[in-house]
Amino acid sequence: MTKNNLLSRILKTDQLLTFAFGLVVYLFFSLGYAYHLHYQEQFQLFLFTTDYLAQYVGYPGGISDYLGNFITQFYFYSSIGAILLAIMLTLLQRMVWSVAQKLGTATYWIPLSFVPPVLYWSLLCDESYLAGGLVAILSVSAFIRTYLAVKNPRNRIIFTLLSVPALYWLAGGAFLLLPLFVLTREMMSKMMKPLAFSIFSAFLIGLSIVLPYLTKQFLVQFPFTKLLIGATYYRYPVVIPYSVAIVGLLIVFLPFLSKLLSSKLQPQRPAFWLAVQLLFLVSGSYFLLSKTADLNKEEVMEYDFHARTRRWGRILEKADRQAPTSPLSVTCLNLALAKQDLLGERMFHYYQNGIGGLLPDFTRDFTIPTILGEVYYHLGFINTAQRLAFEAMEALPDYQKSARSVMRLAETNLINGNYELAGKYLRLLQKTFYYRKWATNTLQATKKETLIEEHPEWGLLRKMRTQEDFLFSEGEKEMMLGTVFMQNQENKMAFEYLMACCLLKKDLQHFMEYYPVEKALNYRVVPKSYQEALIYVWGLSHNDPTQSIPYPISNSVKMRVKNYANIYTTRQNPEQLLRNDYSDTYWYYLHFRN
Amino acid sequence: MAIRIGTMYTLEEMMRTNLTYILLASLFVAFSCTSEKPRHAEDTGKYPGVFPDDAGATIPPNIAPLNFRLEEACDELYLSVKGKESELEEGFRGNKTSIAPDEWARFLDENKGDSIAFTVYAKTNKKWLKYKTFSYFVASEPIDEYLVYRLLSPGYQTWNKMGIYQRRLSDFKVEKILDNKLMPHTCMNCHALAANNPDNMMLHLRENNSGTIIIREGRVEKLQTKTPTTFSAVSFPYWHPSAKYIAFSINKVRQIFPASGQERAHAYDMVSDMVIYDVDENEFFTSPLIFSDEAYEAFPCFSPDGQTLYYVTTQAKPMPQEINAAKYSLCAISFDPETGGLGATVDTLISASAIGKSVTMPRMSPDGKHILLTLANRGNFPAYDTDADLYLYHLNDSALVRLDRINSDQVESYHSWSSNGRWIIYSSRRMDGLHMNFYIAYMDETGNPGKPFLLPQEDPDFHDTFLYSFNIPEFSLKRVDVDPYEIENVAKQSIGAQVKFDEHNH
Repeated sequence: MTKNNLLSRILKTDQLLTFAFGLVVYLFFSLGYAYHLHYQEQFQLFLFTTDYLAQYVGYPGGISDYLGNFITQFYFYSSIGAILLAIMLTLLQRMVWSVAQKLGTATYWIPLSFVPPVLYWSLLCDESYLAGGLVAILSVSAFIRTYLAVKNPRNRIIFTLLSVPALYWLAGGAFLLLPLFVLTREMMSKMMKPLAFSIFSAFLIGLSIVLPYLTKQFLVQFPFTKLLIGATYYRYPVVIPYSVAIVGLLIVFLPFLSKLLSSKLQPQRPAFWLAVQLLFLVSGSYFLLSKTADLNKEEVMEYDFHARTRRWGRILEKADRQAPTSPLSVTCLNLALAKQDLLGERMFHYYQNGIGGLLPDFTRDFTIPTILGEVYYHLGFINTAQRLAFEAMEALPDYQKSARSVMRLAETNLINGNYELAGKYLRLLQKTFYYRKWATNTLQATKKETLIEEHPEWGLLRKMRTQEDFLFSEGEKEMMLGTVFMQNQENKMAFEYLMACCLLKKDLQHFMEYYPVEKALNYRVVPKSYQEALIYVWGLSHNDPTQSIPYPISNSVKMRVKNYANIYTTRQNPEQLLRNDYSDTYWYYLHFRN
Repeated sequence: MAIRIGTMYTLEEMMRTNLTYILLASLFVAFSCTSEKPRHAEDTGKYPGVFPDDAGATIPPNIAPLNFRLEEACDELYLSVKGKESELEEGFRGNKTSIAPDEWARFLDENKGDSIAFTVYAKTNKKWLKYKTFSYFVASEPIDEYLVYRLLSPGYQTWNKMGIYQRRLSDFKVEKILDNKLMPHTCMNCHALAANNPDNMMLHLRENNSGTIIIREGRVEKLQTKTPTTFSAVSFPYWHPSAKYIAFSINKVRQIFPASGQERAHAYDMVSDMVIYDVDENEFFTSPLIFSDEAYEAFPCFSPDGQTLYYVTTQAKPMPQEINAAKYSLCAISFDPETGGLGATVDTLISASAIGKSVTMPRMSPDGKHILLTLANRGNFPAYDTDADLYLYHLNDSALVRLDRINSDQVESYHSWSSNGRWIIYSSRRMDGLHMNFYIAYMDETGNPGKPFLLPQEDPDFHDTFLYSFNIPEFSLKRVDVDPYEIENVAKQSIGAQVKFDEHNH
């Protein structure tokens, strides 16, 4: 095969490489990292209103943020979100490659053009990096590419001078990449006369410096750092996104570097060079993504997503495949167990990390209150669920509202009978894309109370909600659960959470006090963990608890407690010996979990 | 004389305008309504359902247009407003009005001191309907030019967006004084103006860059107000009319959250005292009568002549256990502005035990005849106490009158007076039970209020998507002319001047 034939084949494969890259990105986000997308979607409330648009067009980079939020709303379905991310990252690669080609880069250096999108991909593995930042970077790349398309030098100057302020407003501080590229390009091409270049450079640099100052002085009251950065690359405004700056600089200088390499290195075996680069690219990308993708967080987000969408069976299936260990995942798992009437029966089949995995304490952030709010909502603590939804939304550091929180606020207000307020939240959701239909249907309930009473969830929660006036007290969870249960003894979940609290806190005295209530709940069989606790307590004062115990303990539990006690009392390292066969018992939790 | 606005330009008028204006007007015409006053409208014989429903209210002659939305959907809307001296007519697309402020201002000015009648026509399916006429009364006395207020989320403990703004009341122009986009993670609160004049104003910053900002004649200063004698930085302020002093309460406020019922939160004082700040001397002074371990003293308010300091007080109790028993009385103590001396005795004007209610937020009318205050079931922060209502205390005969005309079955609380004493503004959760909105009411010389109206917004749908509460309304005689960046610079660059505490009077 001749060298030319080989090159032409490679020429065709550049699009194939882009497609393959896009496909991998899509598969990554749709199959491996889908719940990060759901997580991001819930913490914004994209409204199709002019007021919402006006919030964003009023500051540099705001349009990128707006477009980023527009895209993020489609993360509601992770596969659509994955497609959009794949399109954006492949577009970025095509822009970089197109610029590099325009500068005269040889085809076999195409793998270099994948470096910026791969780096941005790795940034997006952090859930705090938002889509608006990628839109800003893409906008800059598009302007750079357009600049190269303008052939007439005078038109290029005009284009640049007009583009700089426009790009500043569109993308924020990333606009600096355009003058940086233009000046580098004009300097290297030497198409301008030295004097013209000097004047042009001075003007362009001056314009770039003065823009944020003028904006601060006359247009927007923002901290100067914000005016320099512009778009919201990172959810926390106090964090300066240096990593994005590195990607930006690569977008500017990588095409020049690849051109330089093309002129200095003209290998005899381009296919080999291509293969070596691809090898580095793939292995480097794998290494980078394995470092930046946080699968522990993905696990929590998956559990939370299923809890949010009431897919209790999915939670249990997942936990059966691999028991969760992070406290928030365990919180969702316990909720799912309770919703399936299995908390008392199976909670110790899974790893339990104390009360923090059942009802974690409130913290002023947006993740824990969101998940915790699910638990209180299903327990019938409607006011607390409402407070947590509100607190979570207000803790969002990027000044956004949360679709999930607003939805929950609509529900809690419906259940509490605050129809005017529920209507306000629902009318807000009617201005969204994905929640519109639900909001429109739910609005009917604000006018027809029977729709709430007949609703399988709201009707039940309305009956279960707390009636007696008492205060929420983080330190007195058992007291609150007991109060709620005593107000409505059909609230089996509150009883199971109360008992679970006692068991997890190893407070067997209170467990024994509350246990008699179990009879009123008509369990067919006493839940396994209760049996284990009962026989344990009985055993503390009886030599052979299996003989005289007055509680209905199954033969299996009786047999197991004997074996367990035997190992526990006679062997030197009982924890290891008991782990395999008895880690699903309350006794094991009692003895070996802190 | 009929004022015709919007699409009603005559050719002669249009010829006088420049090309840009014509183009803009053409655009406006294209997107606006072209209708003339309907000639053959069917009379419905009923009042139109509108939002906001303020019909019958007394309004200032310099208030922004009272835009409204017809609750029934329609394709076009035509509004005819008739006064004794002139008429204002305008057509609109859809079911909302968007009255031009300039024409409205002229119309109100021509018709002040009399009623104005609104007649609404609505077009649906090419058919015009006419509704019954409703009216407002335009008072002769103007309202202060500006309103300074805070916006925040009506929540519990956490907030992500907050700011202090000023609104020109004759139109819809809103300007930022400071917000936490400019100062992230900074809470800003308790803005106060001396006698409705922004030449002397102050506000507190909490959390990031904390301190008290004093703005005097355009000069911005920062203070650190926690002293070895006081248990925390100062809180609720009230300027002395001379602008030489500011009375503050010092509070340790806590919140609790009911797990049931309609009340979302209760705030209460764990401790509360009062001090007076001498602005020139940068010094606090107080008296054992208002700075005592045995009682909580809060919400100070100077009389307009500066001779008396009013405040609320209750006996110190273990909190929150005794939260329902914490009922505040209205008290007064004399004050000598020359010497800064506080009197030796305290007068109880309203005894909480006598009325079984708790008094809070006393605000005296500029003529010194009345005190506007909130009465609630307990405590002095009636944020979610739906029984909280506004009352007027008449100093001449000690009568305490509930202002039924301006109260609702929801919370009414933070309030203030216009500089001429004819207007009051207060916040109420009546719209949806959660979000605080401002209502303005006329108050005559004898203390009788007119029907209130909702602070007008340019778009009547404004409240549909607005998730913030309007908070701490303070009238201002003029625009607050301070550069937000200057406040930001001072707040960030300066630790703040440490306020001294004069132990002499303590």
